Amino acid sequence: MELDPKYRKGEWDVPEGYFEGFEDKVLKRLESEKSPKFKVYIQRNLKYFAAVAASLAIFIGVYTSQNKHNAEDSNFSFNDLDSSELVAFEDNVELSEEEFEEFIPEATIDSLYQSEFKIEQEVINGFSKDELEDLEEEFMPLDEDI
Amino acid sequence: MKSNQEISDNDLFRNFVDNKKPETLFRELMGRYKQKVYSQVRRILIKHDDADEVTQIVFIKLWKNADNFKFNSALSSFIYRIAYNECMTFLKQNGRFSSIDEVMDKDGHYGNIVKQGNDLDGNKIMRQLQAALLTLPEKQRLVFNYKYFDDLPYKEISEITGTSEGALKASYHHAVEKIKFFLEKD
Repeated sequence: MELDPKYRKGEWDVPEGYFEGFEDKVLKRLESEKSPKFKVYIQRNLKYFAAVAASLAIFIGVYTSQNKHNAEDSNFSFNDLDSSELVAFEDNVELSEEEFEEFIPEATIDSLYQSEFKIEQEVINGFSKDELEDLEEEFMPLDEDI
Repeated sequence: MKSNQEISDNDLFRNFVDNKKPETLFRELMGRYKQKVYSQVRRILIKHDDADEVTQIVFIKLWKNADNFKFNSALSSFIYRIAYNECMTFLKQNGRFSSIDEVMDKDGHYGNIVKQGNDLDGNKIMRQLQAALLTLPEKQRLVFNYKYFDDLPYKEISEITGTSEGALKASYHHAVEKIKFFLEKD
């Protein structure tokens, strides 16, 4: 079944000169789509970029603050602590013997022992002879400490 | 050596793709296809402004998707396929039809344009045929347009629309019957 071909002759009404400028119009549009692509992308996703920028700002702020804090910590020395602080530190922190020697200078340890075992004469006089002998046995230095 | 005007569409397009899409070759391609694409799009969208917008988009899409063409089919099928898809997208986006398979003149929008002849050349025959076409379901109208006006083989229409050749032949047959009935009645 076929339709009379006379109907093929009909033409749409097209504005004059429409097809002459068509290529230029398309190429101009292509060009404009190419160049501001990044700008349009930014505009369309502005809220995401704002969120990323805010996150970065927070991260940088926290990182900088942390570094500053660490720098302050790095100036810390055990020499600045008095003996009671060192004892408190020793009670609260588990350190191996090597770590302890690394962190705490030998002079500090010596002074710590001296201060710990320095007993006033009046206190000693207060003890009986038996009590003193017991204390002496208890605090007798080991061979390896001598 | 053949000039650009002498080589086939597919060879011209291959040169275009292989040479990093030079503007001169794309101009040549647009020159070959702009009227055919416009006519196809215009027959679907009816209004010049709509057809102009979609025809431009078709060539922009052709530029952007040039690397996807496999060169194992005719370039014309590739371009008409883009045109077909863009027309469908346009119709859906503009909300004139809830389904592309519905009769196109659901709200009388296009029917009035055709009957008044506002956007046509005053050719009575053309108006009659367009009025008849608007009574057809979308698929039948498309097949009729490709077959009757563009004289495309069923194989190519099948590639464009993604419908089997058998179904296309049946659609065309029904379309011609309905149009004849409409024209005789009118």
